[in-house]
Amino acid sequence: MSPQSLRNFRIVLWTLVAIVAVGATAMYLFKPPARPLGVSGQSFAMAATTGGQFTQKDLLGEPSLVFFGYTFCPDVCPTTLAETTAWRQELGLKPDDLRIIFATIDPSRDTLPIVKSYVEGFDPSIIGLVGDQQQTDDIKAAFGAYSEINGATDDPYYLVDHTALIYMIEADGSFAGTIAYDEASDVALAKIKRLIQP
Amino acid sequence: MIRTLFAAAFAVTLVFAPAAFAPAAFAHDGKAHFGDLDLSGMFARATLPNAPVGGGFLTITNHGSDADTLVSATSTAAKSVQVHEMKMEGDVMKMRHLGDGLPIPAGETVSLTPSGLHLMFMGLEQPFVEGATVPVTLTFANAGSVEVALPVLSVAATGVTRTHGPRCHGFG
Repeated sequence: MSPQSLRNFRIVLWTLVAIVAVGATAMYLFKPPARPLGVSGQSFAMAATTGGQFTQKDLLGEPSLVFFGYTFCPDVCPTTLAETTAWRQELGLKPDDLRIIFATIDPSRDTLPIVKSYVEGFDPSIIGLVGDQQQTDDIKAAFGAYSEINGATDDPYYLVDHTALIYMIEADGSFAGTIAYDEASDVALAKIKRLIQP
Repeated sequence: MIRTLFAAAFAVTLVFAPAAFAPAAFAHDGKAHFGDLDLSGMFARATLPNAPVGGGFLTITNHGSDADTLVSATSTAAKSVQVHEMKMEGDVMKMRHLGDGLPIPAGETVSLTPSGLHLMFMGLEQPFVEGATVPVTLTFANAGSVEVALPVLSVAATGVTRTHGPRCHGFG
């Protein structure tokens, strides 16, 4: 090979190297981000009324409806428990097809045995989640949920303001949307149908 | 005092409208008439095991020309009873104790229904069981006190469905 053709070959080769390098960088920069588990991707670990720990990784597997509440709540929380189990029944789904998960935001009063008999009194397949204050803060951050004690904590019957959304989580653990409190039943059912057949 | 007022209301009811009105305490058709006030749509929700609180609901109509106020409620079924208002602010549920009582304006109807106002029974003596009744004494600023029995419906009941019993003949 003449020095001239060797030089041309080198130019072609380096050009190819440059194209591959730019392309790989672009693919890395513009690839869709991996979807986080839960809403924000914050990790959490709560004790489950069904036994053992429930972490963000346990969102993988089957679709879930997740909501927050507390046992001292006489209105929204029993309503949400009733609606979610009724929707699941109406769609002919088994507990393994769609998990219903109730996480308490009142760690100082809601112990595991209290939440266990509360949710199981409703439907034994409901998964109740209980943590300490830090664990509760973590799971709230994982879903972007809000709660705040309203009134003096030395009042044994203090109230807690809290997000009343139902978070829909897909089988891959990612966030699919919410069902609002008082959402029309047909809208909620349509959303759940989409959730279980993504 | 409460007994006296109640006895007075009872006597007044008996004297003026013996056929049309049942005394409030015996309002087993779900309605009670008490002075200028009509109480209807009364129910409580059954409570889940270990639930320390329960919710009670009713509708109050003031047929009088003066405003009244539901100032307090007591029950032998719970350590205390408060009137609460539930409000949604965005997607956040907020509950407030109406410490100054619940106004019942003249000529108006105020409904305590799920997703709005409720009587909150705190410190239950025993769970509210579907089919039982929960006694509650309501005290109004003008009308005085009346004892009613709230029938216990399901855990997530949203209201009283009108049933056509013997009392409803002709209204079917």
